[in-house]
Amino acid sequence: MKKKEIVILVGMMVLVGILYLTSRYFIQISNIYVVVKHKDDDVLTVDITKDGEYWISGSYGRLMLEVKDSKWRITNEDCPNHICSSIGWVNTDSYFPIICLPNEVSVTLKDD
Amino acid sequence: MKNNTKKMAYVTMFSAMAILLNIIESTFIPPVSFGIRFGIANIISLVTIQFFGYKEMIVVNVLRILIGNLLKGLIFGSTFWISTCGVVLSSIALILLKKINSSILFSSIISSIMHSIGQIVMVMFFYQQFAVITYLPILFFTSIPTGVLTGFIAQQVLHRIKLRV
Repeated sequence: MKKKEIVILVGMMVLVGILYLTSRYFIQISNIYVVVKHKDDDVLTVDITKDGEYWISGSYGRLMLEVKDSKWRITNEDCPNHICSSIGWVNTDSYFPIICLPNEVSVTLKDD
Repeated sequence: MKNNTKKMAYVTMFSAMAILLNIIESTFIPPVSFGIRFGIANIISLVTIQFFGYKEMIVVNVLRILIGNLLKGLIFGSTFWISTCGVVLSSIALILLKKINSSILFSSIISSIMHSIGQIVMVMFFYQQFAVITYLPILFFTSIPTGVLTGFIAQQVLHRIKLRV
């Protein structure tokens, strides 16, 4: 391999690395929505950039979706095993669908 | 006439090897992770363009795509178009790099980068999933070692062919 080609290659690597890091830094989280479903019906669609607390009525009782700093969790739920709240905070990097079986409620990302 | 026949025989053998490598790779060598593949069929394109020229490489690549996918049973499916776009872009890159007389390793790396770019572009338009472009940097950095590997093998193959012919 010629010296000029190595220079071009290293330059490309540096350029792509810089572009990748800056794009990760600058791109704001937007248009990401969390959908709450109760028995196949969309009950609630929440923008994760806006903090808030939303009450949802499920089949067993009521539960609360808390959105804070682009993260979300289920708290204050009425159900026997509390599995949905034991999952804790979820965000887009560590995404996990939260499902509460007694309430027949699921909290997932909107896919579009 | 004799020279022409010899050339045809060589191109046919290269095409057969490219098809075989294509099928072996997609059947027996699993993707490492994130769907990264070595692209060993690209070795044959590199050898052909160095040994004959760009026309023969186009013939070999077209035969490889068509017959390889026909044998795998994936012809004119979504994966066929995705791989076709990748191969077309990498062939264009190889032809341009051959014109400026660059080394085999460098053209191998650039063609493997262009291959992943072509595939990503085609996936973007095929599935309307524009978020896959965020996957491009990962593919870029992994296609450099795989390009070095295929380029090194192509260099060795060319060295041995030129000793015998």
